[in-house]
Amino acid sequence: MNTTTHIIRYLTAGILVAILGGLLGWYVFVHRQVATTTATDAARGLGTTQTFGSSNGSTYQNTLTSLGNGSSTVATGATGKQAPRLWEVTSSPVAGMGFIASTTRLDFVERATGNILEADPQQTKVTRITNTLFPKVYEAQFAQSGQVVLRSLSDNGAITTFLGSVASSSADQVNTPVALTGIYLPQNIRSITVRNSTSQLFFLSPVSGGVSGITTDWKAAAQKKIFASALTGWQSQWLDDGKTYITQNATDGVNGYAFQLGADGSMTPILTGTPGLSVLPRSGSQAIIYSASSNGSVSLYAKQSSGASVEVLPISTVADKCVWSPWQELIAYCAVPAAISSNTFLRDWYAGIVHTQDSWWKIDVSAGTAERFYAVDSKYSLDVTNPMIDRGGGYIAFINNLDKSLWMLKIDQ
Amino acid sequence: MRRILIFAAIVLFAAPAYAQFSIPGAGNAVTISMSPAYPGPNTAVILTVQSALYDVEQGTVTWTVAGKTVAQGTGATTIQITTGAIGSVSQVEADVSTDNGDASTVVNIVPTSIDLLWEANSYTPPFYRGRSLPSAGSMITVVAIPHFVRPGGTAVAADQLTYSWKKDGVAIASASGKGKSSATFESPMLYGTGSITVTAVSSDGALSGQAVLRVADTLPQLVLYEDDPLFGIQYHKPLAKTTSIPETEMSFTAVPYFSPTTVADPELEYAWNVNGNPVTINAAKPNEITINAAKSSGNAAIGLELTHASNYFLDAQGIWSVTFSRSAVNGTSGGATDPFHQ
Repeated sequence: MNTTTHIIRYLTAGILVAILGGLLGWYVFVHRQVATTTATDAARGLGTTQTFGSSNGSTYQNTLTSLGNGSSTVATGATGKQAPRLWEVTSSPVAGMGFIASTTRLDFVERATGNILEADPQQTKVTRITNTLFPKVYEAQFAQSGQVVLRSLSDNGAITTFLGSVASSSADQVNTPVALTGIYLPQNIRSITVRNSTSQLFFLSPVSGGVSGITTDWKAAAQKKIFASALTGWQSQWLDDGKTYITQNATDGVNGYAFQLGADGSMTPILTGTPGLSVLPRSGSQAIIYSASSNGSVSLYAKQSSGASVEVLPISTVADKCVWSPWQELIAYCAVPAAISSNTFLRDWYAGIVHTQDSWWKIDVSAGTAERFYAVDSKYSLDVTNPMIDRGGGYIAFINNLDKSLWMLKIDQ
Repeated sequence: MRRILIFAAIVLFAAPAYAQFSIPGAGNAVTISMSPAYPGPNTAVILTVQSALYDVEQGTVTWTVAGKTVAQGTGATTIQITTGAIGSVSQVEADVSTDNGDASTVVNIVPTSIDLLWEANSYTPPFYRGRSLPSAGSMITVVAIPHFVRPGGTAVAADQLTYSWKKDGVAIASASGKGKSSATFESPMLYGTGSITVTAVSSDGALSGQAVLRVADTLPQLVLYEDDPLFGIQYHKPLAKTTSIPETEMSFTAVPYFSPTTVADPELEYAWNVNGNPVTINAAKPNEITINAAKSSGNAAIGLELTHASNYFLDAQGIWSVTFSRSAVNGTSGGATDPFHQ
């Protein structure tokens, strides 16, 4: 009996020791796994400071960064106060922007995320509007109603074009990013332009033997072909007054042509046989600014009406760097390079091979005069592209082609 | 004998009288040639009266433009006028009076113009706003936009004209015909220049025009862009010949501007090397390369030669010296010989 009792006691003790040993071993195993998992997660970025896309947004962080640079002219304001005259809205690359309706608020698209953010120069404030991810957006265009075109590349290199609308937010979602919804147009659209007054778009789509020019609404419905060409390289502009222009892709020393498209597909020549032609037509009038580039020489011209004589403007820049004032007078604002550094300027500038260092000039087309109204501090280098102006004519927004950063310039001090 | 001489004299001296009064059509035996042959609007045109029958140099020529005499005199065989706008008519009459007889002719000059728009099908990257330029092996598409207006203001549609296309002076029958306002040609040979001529004529022959285009070969240009994992290909910021990069790893995309084929052409051959050592790349994306300098330091000389299996004219090269500065910061030995790897 005693022997049996002893055996049972030894077995019980042994089992207890084994259980305790097993538990200890399990603890050690689990602890090591947790440590490994933590290390792995840390390596993947868990718990570290977000390098991109914080809750406020990378652009917000970039804005804060720019606020602190101490410049007397650039971004010296603070959130809640009016932005400085020249405001670097974000140093993070953007894909495009647009002023919203008749305000000075500027919506823009982050290139990395495709998120829409809104900059308010009255408050020096940037707010994230959408949080739907569209990686690597190369181009974006806005309608003044807030709809947006996002252009990117698919994995196989095809151009994608997304027509997006910002989802409406409920009352308890105010200031909360919302989704961007929409649809895709067919791939490889060569060029697209937005007409604000009718919420329509015009795009050039490749077809066998050339391209077709098609108008559509934002639902990609009611499509109508109004243009066809055996040539594929065109830039299109659809002004608020309804005039549609197409201009051949430009290169230095090679004649370019610009046409006004009729609703019936007719092509009325606007400018012909101009080397390196780039045009900036004006809504509500027949006035046009255009530039020519050849052998390293860039010239800017203007016509006050279709039958008027050509004025040679006293500045050397391309029409791509100009924007018309919305006011009645024939006033335009142009970024003018300090120098043209290439004999094939257009070709190299479009490829990013050369950049310019610009200052801002005001052009009075009626008088044929130009005067510099803003000289950029020499410590900044601005290669202006895609300039646009708000409806009040008070602010110019543009992208710096050096790094795709977004800037706003208050025209009057 | 005397009878023979009298007969011969009658025949010889009577001949001019016979031409003056009896040759059918002799009154129209003069023509006017124009230079340029297809005058455009507001263009100076030299008009010359000619005849195979009369010696106009010895005759008296009277020029009348729009009913007004503008020149007259012995041997006044040439005048210069300036055409009006497209669709306007300049009626020019030349009256020739010689000892052998009189003749006259009238031409109606209706200026026309043809714009020739063109582009090559050579490669340019997505979103590039510039023109595609011709390189050896690529094709050029040319579109003629005629501006033909009849007196009275009626425009002649482009598809109602008959086009004759020539390349380097050789007629291209397959591209020519009624309504064929566009045509595609081979680009000029390497370092060459080519000419393309189009002549358009209205169905009744009353209107005609001509335009000539000269295009030169362009060498493909290799440009290397960073392919950023967040922002994509940095088309606005190509790699300079010497670049310092504060990273240990970076991907690059080579863009062969004006290559006669697209980057995805399987016959395009991308020969990459780093510091002279050939490297193997992803066959699915041969124009991309990733350099990892985690175990290396110093400069990486990235070289690329682009050739084509069947187009022997294509040979574009580029070399870029890149310093991955973070690798040095990380403490790898300076001047190490570790090869950069993908």
